[in-house]
Amino acid sequence: MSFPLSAPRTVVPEAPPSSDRDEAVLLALVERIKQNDLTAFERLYRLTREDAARTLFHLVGRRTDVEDLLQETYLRLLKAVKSFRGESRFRTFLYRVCANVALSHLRWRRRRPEDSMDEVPEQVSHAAGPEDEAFRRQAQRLVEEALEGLTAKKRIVFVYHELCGMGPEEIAEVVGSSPNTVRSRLHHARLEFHEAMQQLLAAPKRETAP
Amino acid sequence: MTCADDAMRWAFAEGSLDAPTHEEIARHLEECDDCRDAVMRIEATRKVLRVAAGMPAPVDWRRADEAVMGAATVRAAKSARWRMPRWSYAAGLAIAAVLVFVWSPWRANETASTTAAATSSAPEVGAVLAEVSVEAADGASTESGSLVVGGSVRQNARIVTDERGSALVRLPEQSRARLGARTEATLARASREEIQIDLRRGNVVVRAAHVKRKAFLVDTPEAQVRVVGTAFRVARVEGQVTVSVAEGRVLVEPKGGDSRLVNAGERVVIGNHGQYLESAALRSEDSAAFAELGPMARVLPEPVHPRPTPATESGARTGPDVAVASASPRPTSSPETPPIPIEAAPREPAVQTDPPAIAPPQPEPQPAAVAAVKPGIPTTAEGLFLERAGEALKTGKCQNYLLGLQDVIEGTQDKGSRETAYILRARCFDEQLDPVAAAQEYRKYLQRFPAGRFADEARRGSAE
Repeated sequence: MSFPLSAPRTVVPEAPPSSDRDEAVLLALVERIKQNDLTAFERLYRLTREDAARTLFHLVGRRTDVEDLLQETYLRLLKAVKSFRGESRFRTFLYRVCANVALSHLRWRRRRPEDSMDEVPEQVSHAAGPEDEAFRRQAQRLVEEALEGLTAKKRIVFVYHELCGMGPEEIAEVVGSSPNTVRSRLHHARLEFHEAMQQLLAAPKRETAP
Repeated sequence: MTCADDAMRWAFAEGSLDAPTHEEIARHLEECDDCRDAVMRIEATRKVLRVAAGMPAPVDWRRADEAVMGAATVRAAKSARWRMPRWSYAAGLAIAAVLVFVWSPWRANETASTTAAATSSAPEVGAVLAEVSVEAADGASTESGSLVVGGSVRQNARIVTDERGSALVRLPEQSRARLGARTEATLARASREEIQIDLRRGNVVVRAAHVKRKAFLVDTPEAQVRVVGTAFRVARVEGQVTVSVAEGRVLVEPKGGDSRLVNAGERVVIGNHGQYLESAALRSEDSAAFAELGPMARVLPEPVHPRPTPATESGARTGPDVAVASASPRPTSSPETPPIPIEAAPREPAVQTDPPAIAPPQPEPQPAAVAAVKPGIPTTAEGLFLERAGEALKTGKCQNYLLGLQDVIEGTQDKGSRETAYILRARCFDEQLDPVAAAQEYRKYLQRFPAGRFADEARRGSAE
């Protein structure tokens, strides 16, 4: 058989935990926010903050205070929500704001390479079980380190697909590109991330080799 | 079949191929060790990704919640579209918090004498947190004993003053807090980045240092007062809370209710159910309270004629009574050696909770303070904000100031502040490598300030 040269068709690997009912609640809150209801904004923040924080963390890594980026994200959202007409899911809208905040930050950080590699990731403990908390933390740090090698645009696409479970079409809506562009970026991002991850996973073995 | 490329292997591991292709690759993997190893490595990578995807972000939620909701509340209050009707606030409100900026050398002699008398005591033994130091104390104690000058107060210590007592402490970020008579307060948070004073009764006067910090709060059971601006006074008498702002603005946050900003020159009275009973200009009694805080008094709309607080008035008080004022953005002397007079305050009469009145100082020219009486954003608060935005620009944190700078542009009546805000926004976009947005900001600047101080820079920026 022959394999296509283009990137393969992709699917959403894990459905996001956002049901239609959740979406309806969020949209109702958005309408109240448009009517200047600050308590609705607080409720919306409470409902979405962990998702937003996790996304921002994956997008920018731990060398940035996620709290600061959360503040920037929700302030932008507070301003932009007035123009939200419900053409997309609210979650998509929120991710778009997260992407813009992260992109601004990553571009800024790119100019400061001295700040970008000031932490060495922990090495994987192969003795630990996959459910072990230490392993989970190490996995988080490995992913963070491997993501550092991606450009901002590739990183956003990769994080939204692989860590947030979004499909290329939804990501295209978030980043303002075509689905094919997203697929292309995702393909290259996967190769680069995988290469970086393999090097990180192999590091302990190399060090212990005679 | 030939070996699959990496993209196809990843799609196989992901399970996103159609069934016939998936089956075909699966059969190939049984025969090809290289492809099988490659797919196993991809699966290992994906496994790490799955584990990481489920991990929560390392977030200090208390800090995040304060940052988000605090900024949102300020923004909401700033916007007329967001402002709730003044008489519709329904939460219980009691307040306390004060920023004081007191330069009052005329009380230096009293300071010296009082401090000298107080220093006869030995430092407190067993103090844990040296960062909170006692500068003056009289009739004040914590759980571990009497407060003494030169001693220190540990975090979470509960300070109680007697009927004529008072205490002056220096906080870790160089702010000072004076607890008046019959006061009970806990230093819930006392770090260089965050201050929180839990006031249960009595009054506290605070002079805030000009440092960047996350928060400076005075908390009461009913409400929080967050320091936003610079000088205000809060008094609670028989269940009614009066908030008077001389300079800057304060954010009043009823617990469970809506918040609002009270701006310079405003005086609001809140009833015992949190409803707003009155919203008016400052009164002479406010002037009297601020007069004793020094040059702050000149920002008031009325002539300053300080007078003692009638004993009968304070005697009827049932809760916290707080006089607050804070610093102007650019102090005129070193914070290490300010002629702050608080510690020199004479022992208060048993029934008096307001700080004692003193003769008003001879005012020195302070254009920023005078301008603060104008409606809108106080000039001094703007100055401080713009200064910090400029500092943030140098450290690459300016993106957090973009919205605030826009607020200054939209809300200020000071042309210079607006001009500076425009140019800072443009520079910030430049800093963030967003030349399109930067050029837009530069063009906006040129439209409004074609011969402005930064016109040359704006022309260069808009042409790029």
